[in-house]
Amino acid sequence: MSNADPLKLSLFGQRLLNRRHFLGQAGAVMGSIPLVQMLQQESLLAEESESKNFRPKIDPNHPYAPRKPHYQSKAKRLLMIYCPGAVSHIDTFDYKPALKKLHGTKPPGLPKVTFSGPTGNVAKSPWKFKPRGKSGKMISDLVPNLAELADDLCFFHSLSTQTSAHPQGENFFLTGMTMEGFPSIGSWVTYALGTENQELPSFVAISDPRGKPRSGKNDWGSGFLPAAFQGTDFSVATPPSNLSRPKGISKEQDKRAVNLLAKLNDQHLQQFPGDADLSARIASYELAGKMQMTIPDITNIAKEPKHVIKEYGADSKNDIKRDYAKNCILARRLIEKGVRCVQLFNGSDAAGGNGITNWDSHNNLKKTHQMQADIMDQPTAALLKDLKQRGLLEETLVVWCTEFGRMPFLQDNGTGRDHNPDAFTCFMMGAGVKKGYSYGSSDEFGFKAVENSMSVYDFNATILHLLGLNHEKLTYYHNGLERRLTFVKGDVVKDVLVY
Amino acid sequence: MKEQIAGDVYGVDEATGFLVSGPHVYPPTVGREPSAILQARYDRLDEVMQNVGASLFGTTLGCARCHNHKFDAVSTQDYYSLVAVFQDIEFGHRMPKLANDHPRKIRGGQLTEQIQTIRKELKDSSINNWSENWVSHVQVHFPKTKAKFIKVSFLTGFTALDELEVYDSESGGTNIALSSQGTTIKTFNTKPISRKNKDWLLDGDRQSFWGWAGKPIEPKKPYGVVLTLQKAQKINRIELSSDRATIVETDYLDEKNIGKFNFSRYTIKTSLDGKTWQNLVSTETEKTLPDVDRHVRKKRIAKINQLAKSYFKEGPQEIFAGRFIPPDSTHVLHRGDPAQRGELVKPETFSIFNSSLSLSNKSTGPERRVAFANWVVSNENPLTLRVSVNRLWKHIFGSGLVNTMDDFGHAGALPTHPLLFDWLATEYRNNGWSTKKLIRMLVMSKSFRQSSQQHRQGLKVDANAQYLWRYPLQRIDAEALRDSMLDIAGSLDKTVGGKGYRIHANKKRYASWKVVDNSSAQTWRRLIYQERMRGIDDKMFMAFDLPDCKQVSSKRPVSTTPIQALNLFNGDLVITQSKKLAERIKKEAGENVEAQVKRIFLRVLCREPTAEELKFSAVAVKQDGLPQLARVLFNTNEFSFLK
Repeated sequence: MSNADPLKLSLFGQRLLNRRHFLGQAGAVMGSIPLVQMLQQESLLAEESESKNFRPKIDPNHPYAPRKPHYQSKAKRLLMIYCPGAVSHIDTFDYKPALKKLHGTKPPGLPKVTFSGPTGNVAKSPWKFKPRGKSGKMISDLVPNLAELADDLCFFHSLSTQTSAHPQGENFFLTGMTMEGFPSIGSWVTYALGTENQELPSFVAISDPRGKPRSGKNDWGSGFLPAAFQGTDFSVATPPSNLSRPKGISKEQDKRAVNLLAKLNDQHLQQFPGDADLSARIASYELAGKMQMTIPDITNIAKEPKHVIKEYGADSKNDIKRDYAKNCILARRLIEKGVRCVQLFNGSDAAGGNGITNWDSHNNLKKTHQMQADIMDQPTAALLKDLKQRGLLEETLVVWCTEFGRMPFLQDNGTGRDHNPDAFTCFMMGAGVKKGYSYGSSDEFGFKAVENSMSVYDFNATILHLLGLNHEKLTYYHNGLERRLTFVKGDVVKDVLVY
Repeated sequence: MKEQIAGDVYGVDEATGFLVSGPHVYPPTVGREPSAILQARYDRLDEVMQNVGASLFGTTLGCARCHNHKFDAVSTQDYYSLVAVFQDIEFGHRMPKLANDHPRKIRGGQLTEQIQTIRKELKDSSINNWSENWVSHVQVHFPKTKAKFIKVSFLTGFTALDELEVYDSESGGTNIALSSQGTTIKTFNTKPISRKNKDWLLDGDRQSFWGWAGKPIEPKKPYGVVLTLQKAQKINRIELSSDRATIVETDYLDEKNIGKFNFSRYTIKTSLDGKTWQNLVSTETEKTLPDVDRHVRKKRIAKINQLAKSYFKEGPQEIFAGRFIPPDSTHVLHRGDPAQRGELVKPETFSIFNSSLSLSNKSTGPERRVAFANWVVSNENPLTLRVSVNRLWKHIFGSGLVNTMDDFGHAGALPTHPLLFDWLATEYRNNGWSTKKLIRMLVMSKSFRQSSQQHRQGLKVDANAQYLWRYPLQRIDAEALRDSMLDIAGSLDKTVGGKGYRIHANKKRYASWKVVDNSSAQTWRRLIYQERMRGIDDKMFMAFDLPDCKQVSSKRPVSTTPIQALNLFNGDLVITQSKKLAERIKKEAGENVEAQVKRIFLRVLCREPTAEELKFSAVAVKQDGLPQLARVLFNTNEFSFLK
């Protein structure tokens, strides 16, 4: 603050100097401010002592202010890459030699009917598996670029989920509930931790170039948490709505409107000194103004050097791959700028399970999974390498995931694999997790998780843990219940943690 | 309230729609495993329980689905006894019973009359059978015929049906082609198609996912199905459809995607002994007619099809208000698992209130719901009355007398003004649950009319003003914000009731919704009239904590976010309304800028500007025009907060 006596300036002038500082200082003169604050703090403390839960204390003035985790953690940020439609674990990361032996047979014990109807014969993977890296991890040729990162990845091979339907599976993975309307993992994380960069949204969801995922906004929605914690969805191709100045209003005019608004709001605030709700709303307009600068800047991929564009595949002739690659670059830039949670989608809503708009390969697995992998593999691998090379993995947890796996046998159409909720694979990488490690395993066909089998609750509990949050204590009171991301379940998978 | 529970009995058939308004899993995505199907059924019943529990009782009933409630006197027996009350409800469409003066009923009657006239002409013509396109299905009409066997042969390469319905002409025209009626089915020359089953043509379920499809084994030869009725019966109509259930209430679908079927040419024959067949209907007979007759017939059928299309749009229509099924016996499910059936329970209300619905497991569905509805509003139920009063109080004062709106149990908050609360509840009941009278009483109270001004003493004792020493400053919700803007600008269409407005585009069946128009003149009605698609971001007011319509919500959070600021400062709606308001003000105040400023403050903020505000606002208007000032005023804190 300058040397000017704050009380000699108009309120508007004081605000221009430093509004937040002012509110803190002026308390000495305007007695009610510290009193209100003190009383509010006291009532918060009283609430806290009555509750066994650790609801984060949200300062309405700064809903996005960084908040301390429950305990110290390496990971400060979360990047979640989600592949809607269900990626086949047995054709990517979960090597099952038994499928080759039993190819074309129907061994006893396998079900007659699965989600889509009657089942066909066991089928080996159309892709070759090879040992990769120093760890010798067997990964298929479907994802050659990700395979190169084998020594950095931490695989979970024993996941199972609650449902074999996509929308519910997607909901369950990303909100912890199969039904719609519950807070997404990203909104839980930003509710708990706020964000480091006040000039960008705290939680960004980047949709696939083909469109929104099956569950749409539910994947980044805030459910019953305050709307402040919902994800903002934009991608390189589609900026957030209402970001730009309305047509017919010049930059100068717009600026004058902003100033006029600030003046009127300050006159009004004088009647209610120290009212947190009012000043929070004033602050939100300031933040909005900053976002109008920062978002167009960060989505402008053209500024990236040529070799980066090339490495990500952002110059590909495949339109979808090119646009997905641009989104990967955007994801890296957001992480770099300290955005708390970035969700990146590879695939959109299903168009009847044809495996074209996403990974749902009920028909012609070989062709359709290849089509998806061609889009996903190189840009994703480039993103992960880039994060590593820039040292961003020191503080970033990367999660690659999908709602469930696919069956070791074909459907009765003889070309596609049906949904498999009982075994699937996801991986993590970066801050706090082991490298070149595989946790748990599925049976010899990849049909059911057997060793160290784990639920999506466990997986989500582990993500929260890695971000320094106790999943049992991160709660929000709604409809008479202290709700959690992990319902009343979930155990942290301690095996994968690095201390 | 009673109507929402048993509207079908009280003559307000549509009201049961609220019971099934919760999200549910659409049958095709449940999958084929029987355990998943049963689980989904109990998930749907749980949605009903949550709606009922939260809205009528301020209770978290859901807990008792798996275990006795941890804090409140709700046991698993109580939960499943309440489930038994609603066992006849299934999520789905049904044709509502409409009053005789209902516009749809009147229109439907007119259209039917016109259709009957043309049908008579067809009946009297040389070919007395014909097929009509009713958009969702095809109706095949023919003279009364006694049949035991019905053979439907398809003549085009691929056929898919969801149901094949055969109507008897004797007992009031009911579908007798149902497995439950003893009808069986066989196919001939048919190559089966994966995930389809011939028996699903007789299951009464008009879903394409539970249907049949086929191709000829021997190419270009007829193929199809033969139905065997339990006994020979007189029939006069057959209905064929490909995806009938999905086509109801679907005016949001692209026109070109409806009224089409996965079958076109067919022949229907009947037999009494299964050996000698008699031709009933064929799409091929027309070819045998002389040109003139064919032309007349074609014209008649086309006219019927056109009328049928109007009927589909304007006549009585099936609505999603639940369908009724015979109530299944209800058991306590151990840990909520439908596979682990425990003790049998009868329909009953909470045991803690020591009152009985006097029902048995033989009671019909409507009997169960009527008994329950009567109990809800009886003096024996202390909760609903108070839950209602609390909710109304919240709307007027910003927070409830019981601050945990949806938890009146042990884990909830105690009322801040217990005696007042009880008195209000009694008044409310004595006034016949009149919402209007209660609201009038509240807004005429001293507490409501006091100012929001702070003072030291008050802040010291009760900073949040929960004891109402001042009127607590409160943020207006999304609806009030939008509707006020429209009203102030003079744009608000105040029509009450009727069809809502729509902000999204028509779409293909599986495509996502796209918001295409959230600001043009057709949207200038109150926000409650906006057709809300679950979870679709309207790009404007969802950021203002407008619920996403997915989970029951008795209390909205109040957020303050930069996205709100962007939407309200740059959104099309605000810009257009700012222009409209400026025009209005110019008409009211003339060309004098100061008069305009005074008038616009009065319109938007309900007060005159201060001298200083007048000064700098006038400067702004001279520089950037009146719409700019309107835009800014709509964005002020003063406009967004009620004091």
